[in-house]
Amino acid sequence: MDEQEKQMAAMLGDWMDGAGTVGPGAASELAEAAETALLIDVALGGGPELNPAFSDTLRARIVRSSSRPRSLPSRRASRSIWVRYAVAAVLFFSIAPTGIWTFMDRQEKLKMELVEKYDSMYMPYKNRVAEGSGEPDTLQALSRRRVEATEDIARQWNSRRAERFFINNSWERSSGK
Amino acid sequence: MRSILLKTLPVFAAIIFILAPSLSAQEQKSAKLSKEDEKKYELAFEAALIHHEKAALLYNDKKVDEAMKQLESLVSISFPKGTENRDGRRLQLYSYGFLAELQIEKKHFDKAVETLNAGIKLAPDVATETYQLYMTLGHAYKNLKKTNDALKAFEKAQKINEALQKLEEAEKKNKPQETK
Repeated sequence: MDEQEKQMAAMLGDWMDGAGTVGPGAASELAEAAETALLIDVALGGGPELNPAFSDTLRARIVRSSSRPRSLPSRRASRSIWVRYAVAAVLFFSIAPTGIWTFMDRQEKLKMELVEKYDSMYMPYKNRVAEGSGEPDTLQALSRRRVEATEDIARQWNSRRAERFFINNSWERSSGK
Repeated sequence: MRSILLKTLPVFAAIIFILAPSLSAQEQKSAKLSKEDEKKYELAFEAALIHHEKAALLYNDKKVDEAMKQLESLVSISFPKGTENRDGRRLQLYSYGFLAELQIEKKHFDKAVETLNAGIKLAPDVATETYQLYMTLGHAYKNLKKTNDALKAFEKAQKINEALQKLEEAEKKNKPQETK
């Protein structure tokens, strides 16, 4: 079989080079190959003109074969557009909110960190009350004394105010008002 | 015309030179309190001192509620006008912060915010007490989990702090010049 194939290829090569002939007695496979080679040769521009009927049939075949893939990709293209829209929508409704949420969450965390930092700088009044008054034991004694002293001052102020009030009233009465 | 102007110009300059010190003296006089207001201020200051001392004592004795009452009465004392920068007022502003802190300790955060805002209304724009009030406000908002408000209050406090530092630096610069 291999030998026969080699022989046929050599004959076909010779025929294409214009040396040999492929006649009606040639094997059917060789005849088909010769016909295909002839068609290729015609398509490339060389060789004899084809039979008009055969040419029309060939053209019709070529047109049909070329029109078929046109119709299929258009459907595929429309489908792919919808797929693209769907993918875009899924991405938008899933990834975009996640992204926004992540951004907001990060901002919030940064704010919280900053607030924590500032809050650590806050010095409570109770610390200053203790600092300003010294040791708790001595503080009580000292502060009580101070409180009593200030209360005394306030009492004196009040008594003076009362005195002045009565003096003024008596003056008003004595003046005959 | 020119000669008249040239003649009168030194006279005007002299008048301004003579009047300027007397005008500033008048301003100083207007800043001073009347005798009656001075007495009122002194009374109010004494009362404020007493309330504050009592509050500090009570707080150290862990009597927070009673300390708060003392501070509430201190805060309600009315000082006469023109005493904004004096010690009595400063003690009152300090007490606003202290009262708010005790309210925070008692978990009365909203009340604390109210107290602090009332104090801030009375406080001058740039003062240590104002800084401390804003810091306490930030602390209160942080406890209320109002991050944005807390951040605003803390940032305001920081601005005041910067202004205070600038003032201190300016004072330091002026002091050597005065001694020279």
